[in-house]
Amino acid sequence: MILTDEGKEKLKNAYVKSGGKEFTVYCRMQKIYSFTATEPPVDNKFVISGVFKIDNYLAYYNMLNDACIEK
Amino acid sequence: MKKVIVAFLIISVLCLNGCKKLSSDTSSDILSNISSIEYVDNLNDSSDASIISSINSTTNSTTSSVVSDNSSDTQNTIIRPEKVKTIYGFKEGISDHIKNTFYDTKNGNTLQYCLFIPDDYSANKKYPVILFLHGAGEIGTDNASQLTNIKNMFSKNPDYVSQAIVICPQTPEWWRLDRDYGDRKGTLSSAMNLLEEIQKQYSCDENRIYLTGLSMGGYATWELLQNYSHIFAAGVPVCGFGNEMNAAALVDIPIRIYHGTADPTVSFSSSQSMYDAIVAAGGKKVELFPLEGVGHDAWSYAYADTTMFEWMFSQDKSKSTPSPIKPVGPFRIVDSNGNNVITIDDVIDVDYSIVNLENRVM
Repeated sequence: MILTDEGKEKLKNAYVKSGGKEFTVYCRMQKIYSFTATEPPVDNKFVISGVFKIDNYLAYYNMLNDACIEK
Repeated sequence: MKKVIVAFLIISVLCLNGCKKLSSDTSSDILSNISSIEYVDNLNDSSDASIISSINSTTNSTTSSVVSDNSSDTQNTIIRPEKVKTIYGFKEGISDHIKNTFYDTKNGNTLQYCLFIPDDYSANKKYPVILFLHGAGEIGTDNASQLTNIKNMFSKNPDYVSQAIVICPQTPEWWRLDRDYGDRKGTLSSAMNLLEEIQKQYSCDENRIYLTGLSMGGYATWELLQNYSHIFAAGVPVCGFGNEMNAAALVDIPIRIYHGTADPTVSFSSSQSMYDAIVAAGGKKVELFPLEGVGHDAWSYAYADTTMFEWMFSQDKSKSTPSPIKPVGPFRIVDSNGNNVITIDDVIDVDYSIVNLENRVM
């Protein structure tokens, strides 16, 4: 995803502060996946790895796309 | 859709426009229009009083009389006991109650149900209502077993329960709200129609209608709270499971969740997930009560908890105010403390360069 500068800062700070704590990504109320932040972003690229169901991915894809269009 | 587990990497660098929608969302079937509901006398062929009713007399005999409301449809006539002698804390822990049959002609279902009425019942007074939904083990038509696991409700908390109208329907199958079998709908929709019918027959406080259920009934409690949030003043799902996707509908409803942490039948994580989702959506009125080391019988503790009934009976929709916190947008990243780190306001656009572990674009 492409974040605003403020968003990048938020995520960067969250990464730094988290110390490996778990984060959860939601689309609406559906938990899409969780990941653990252990590394800071490199070259402004936030690399998030995790495992999730393809069903959730489709929901993620559509909802995030819709939300961005609505903005 | 076939479930595929995918390992992925998301790299936030690309901006793609005009992304196609991959599939349509499903929506829940909210049943709202209720037409005529009739009680049918299957004991007598009376054409006027279309009701059956009996009193479960344990220690006191009661008599019944036909009470008609001439101002309404005669099909809504109900046999009401002249005097409901209610004593709590019986040997079986269950007080006198009315047994009845509900024929939901709208949805094509027949439900047996037990009805508890305060012994000081007066049409000039408004009473809180508890709708109780039993678990899978009590599925049937005997119109008795649905009371099996709520004895603590009556024996431990008579001061509260005796002041309420308690409705205990029994379903002959799994409680379902979202099922349309062609000639009929799921029985959970009929439970709501029964509630509405009881509201017509008795003097109920529409601002104090409470919902609780255990196990399968806990699932049904979540279903009804999510689809009829405007009806219920509070909900108590016990060892159930819900749909996290609908959590936004629950942010303004006072909810107490009870679940045993050692539940081998319905995982405790089911309730934890619902709690997390409601909190993530901005809900401030939800509470989770993990029962440490307790198995599936969380109801033994929940319905014995006097503080729960104290809390429940203090909930009043007329006095509640909507949560000042608006549900957050459709996308967010939440930290382990439930704080929103990234919301949709922080996203410029979607990057769909999602690749699998072999770096192949999906």
